[in-house]
Amino acid sequence: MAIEELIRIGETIYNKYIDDWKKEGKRVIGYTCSYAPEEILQAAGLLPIRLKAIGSSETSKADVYMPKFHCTFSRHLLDQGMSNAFDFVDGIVFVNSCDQLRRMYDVWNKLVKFPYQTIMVMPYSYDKEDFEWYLEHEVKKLKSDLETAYGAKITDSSLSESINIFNETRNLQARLYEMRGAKEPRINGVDTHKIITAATSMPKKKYNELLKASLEELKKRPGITDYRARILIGGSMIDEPELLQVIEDAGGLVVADVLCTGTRWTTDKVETDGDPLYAIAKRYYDHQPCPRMTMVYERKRDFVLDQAKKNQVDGAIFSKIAFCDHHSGDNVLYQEDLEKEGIPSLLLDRDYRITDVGRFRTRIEAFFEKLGK
Amino acid sequence: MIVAGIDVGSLTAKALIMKDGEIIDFDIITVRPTPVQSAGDVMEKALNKTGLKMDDLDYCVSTGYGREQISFSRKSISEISCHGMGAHWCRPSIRGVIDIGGQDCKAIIVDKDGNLDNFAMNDKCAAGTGRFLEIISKALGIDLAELGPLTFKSNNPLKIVRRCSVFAEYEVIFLLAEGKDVTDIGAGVNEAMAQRAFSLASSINLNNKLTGELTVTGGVAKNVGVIKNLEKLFDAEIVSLPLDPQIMGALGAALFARRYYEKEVRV
Repeated sequence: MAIEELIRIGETIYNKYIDDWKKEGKRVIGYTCSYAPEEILQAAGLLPIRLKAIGSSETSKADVYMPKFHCTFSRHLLDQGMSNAFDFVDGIVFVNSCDQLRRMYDVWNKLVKFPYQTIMVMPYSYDKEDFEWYLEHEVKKLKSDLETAYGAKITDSSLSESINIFNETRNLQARLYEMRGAKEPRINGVDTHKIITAATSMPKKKYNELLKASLEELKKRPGITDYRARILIGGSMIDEPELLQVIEDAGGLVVADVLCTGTRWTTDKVETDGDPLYAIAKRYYDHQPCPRMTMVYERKRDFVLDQAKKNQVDGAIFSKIAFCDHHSGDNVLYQEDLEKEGIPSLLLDRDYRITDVGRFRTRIEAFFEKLGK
Repeated sequence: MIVAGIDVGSLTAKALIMKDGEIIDFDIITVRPTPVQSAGDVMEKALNKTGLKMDDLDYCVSTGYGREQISFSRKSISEISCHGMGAHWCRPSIRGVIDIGGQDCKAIIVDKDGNLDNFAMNDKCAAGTGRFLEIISKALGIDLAELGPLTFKSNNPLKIVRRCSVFAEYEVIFLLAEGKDVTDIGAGVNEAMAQRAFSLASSINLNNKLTGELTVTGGVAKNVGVIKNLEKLFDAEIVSLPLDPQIMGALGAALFARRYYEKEVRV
């Protein structure tokens, strides 16, 4: 079954699809943030794979270089890099996502060497000059750097081809989200999350085929009705859906999210008319923003409210990885704004991985009890 | 109608039996290797005293860390709801509960019926929990029970700035090395502890939104210095409960058992 296959792939760092790709003599490129313009990487003939620290259980190697108050995602990622978990990639594109990942890159750059390794700078604000600077200095530079590093030629037609494939991925994922957010969802939040994550762990073309088949399989499934509460989740990025698992084990159902590793990646597509490189730059700069972007709180808030209402949620759970400064600010504000709409929220601090399930379960069950569910 | 509440925590397991709305017995034991064993043993003990058998129980609700694994309980409810419900039953004018246990600190707001209205619970950290007081009293070389009264003996409580238990311990050791008075350090520790619980409570606006009485449960309720400081911070009296605060979770669970019995079984 296609669904089971995608769920399985969503739990992997390396898998047979990456292996097959490499066996054909083709190259793989890693990236760390949803702000990395994957379409350009693919147009260079590379397979873009988002680096995850799935299964990482300790950070002892990274802890030598990064203090305890550094975010655990950065530390797990660095630790995995230092442990050779990503040796299957031929290069990496980082983004100045936040201060934590930027500082981690400094250490990475010294300790974990890949033939091609760069950090793209995404401006923090939406001034016109900022976009022009980003297009000229970052996007065009990435294109020419990739051409030099890999002896590839990135043409308008290879860019357009990859735009079409990625837009198709986003369309199919939007349909999956619709099924998850239905009155009687045909799929739970944990499985949805793994299927969405699988898109970042295999070639998109193959992924689209499997997702299309999965959507057909889902249509035959009965709807889920035996749940306590419909929940929206938001906050820091999530790779392994441990938090969603705790929510759903406690009887809740995650029917919506505002994660960068989820709905926020799917929502905005790349324009298909006009200069493809410009269109890609525009999409990555303008897409539904991460809390890192400044002066756009209303846009972020409206997105949260829209998702909450559209999917008829009973409550929202916002979590942040400890010491994540961006999400710590926004989560509290979202809570206040949702409260005004009669939707209560629970705020949680967590590590990149959740290991002390009991404490999370207590708070989540109490939250359901507070909702009267 | 005979109902029971069972609370399997990280250190102790508690069982409480109610007959027609009156508590007829309760028991507390230290935990056994598994929650199932703890639950079975403590229930056995409580039942034995009353001459009842397991079959006599009309409904049982479990709470605490081991709550999901208890086979003879029909429902599990979080200890946050149970603590609120239990304290409210003891004194119906209670609207706020601060529960400071060995590894958790919780601030709870209940409505007029004892139902959970809002709550906050500390994240994975020993700061602001009973564990913190244990570490510090060890560093001060005094008994945990001696720590509370220091607040009333000191004229100059010293500020403990560091939030983290480990760093706070360093800070205390440093103050000792400087020749500062144990009484003043201890009083400062009680103040810091109260401040942490107060911050947690403020995150759900418990300080401004309190519409009834406030109580403190959990082991730290026994520290008079922390209580005194909390009263100052909240500018309100902390009322004491007529029952051992440790049993509040099991009491709340029994009250939920009564409610579910009436809702599900009787009709």
